[in-house]
Amino acid sequence: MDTQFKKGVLDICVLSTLKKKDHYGYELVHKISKDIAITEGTLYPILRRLKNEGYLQTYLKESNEGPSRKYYSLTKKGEYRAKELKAEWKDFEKKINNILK
Amino acid sequence: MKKQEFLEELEEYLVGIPSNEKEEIMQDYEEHFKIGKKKKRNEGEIVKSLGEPKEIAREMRMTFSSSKKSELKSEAIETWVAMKKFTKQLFHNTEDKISDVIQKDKRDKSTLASKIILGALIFLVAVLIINSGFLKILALAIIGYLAYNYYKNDNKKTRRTKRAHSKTTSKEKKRGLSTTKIILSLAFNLLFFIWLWIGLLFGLIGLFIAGLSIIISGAAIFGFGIFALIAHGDPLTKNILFAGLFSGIGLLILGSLFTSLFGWFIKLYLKATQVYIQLNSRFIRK
Repeated sequence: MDTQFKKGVLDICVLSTLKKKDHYGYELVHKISKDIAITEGTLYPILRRLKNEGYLQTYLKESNEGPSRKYYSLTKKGEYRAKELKAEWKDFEKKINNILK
Repeated sequence: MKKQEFLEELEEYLVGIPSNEKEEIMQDYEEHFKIGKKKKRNEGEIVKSLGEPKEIAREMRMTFSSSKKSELKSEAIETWVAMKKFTKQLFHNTEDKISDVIQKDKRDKSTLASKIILGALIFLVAVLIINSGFLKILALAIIGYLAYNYYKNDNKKTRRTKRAHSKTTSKEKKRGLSTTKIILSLAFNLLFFIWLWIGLLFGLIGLFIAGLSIIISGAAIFGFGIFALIAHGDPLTKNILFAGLFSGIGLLILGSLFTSLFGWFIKLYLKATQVYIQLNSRFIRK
């Protein structure tokens, strides 16, 4: 897949995955990179950007298998953004499908 | 590449990112390694799935400034890191080679090869002494270092094995380096290339400054033209003032052309430096 295209899609993936439940970094990165062929390392910058833009927040939580982990969750703004992006995606999908028909 | 190497390289490439942010970024990746290991993945595997530190740093920088600015910044930082890496590698290898030569020299009093190499080094140093004060200091440092090595031979052996032990990961880098090629590239770079390199850099900076000053003078002429036209617009001077106005506009455009040319050239220059450094490190390997 084209990298430029992939990058645009990644925001949606991160926000939608976090909408279902809070994830810790490793889990989130691993999950997304399994479905979309992208190196795991380049997802952290995206998380950082989304956090700086106020869509995500982080908190530390103890885990039973070792040191505490950094969890990511959506802010109100992030939830709204996820909805917005999803609607945009649906619209985009429809248009592309029309062209492909 | 191992975890430690990955983290070190990443930190090196993260130059220019605010230090508190940088610390957090490093912590994120360390946590990634920790959890990955808990999930029974080995270090090499994790490193591979994380991708290139260079790419990660590029992406990080993009989140802090506009993409065009950050691209040029990335280019500059990558060149800097490549230079640092190359110098470090060259230094370690030369150090090993020199101590090899000296040790060999001590064992059987006179090897022709080692004499030639030492002779070449001394010649190089002599040439450098003629040039300038800074190079004199550098040459003195080299001579001092040689002397230091000569008398420290006994300790050297244990230190060398220790280093070989701690650097098992970069073993392949240490193998197969040619002394003659190191000296050749050192001589070529110090005597010829570095001056060209510095010269080009200053040429480019000159282009930028020229561009800036043309922009400033263009703006000044343009501003003066407008001011004068408003202040006293008698028909005789009007034509001259109009000519001035347009030449001001022309100069403004010329200046911006110069500065954008500079931006383009400096990018090319940085890329070329990176490629040149890579060529050099490939050359000194056998």
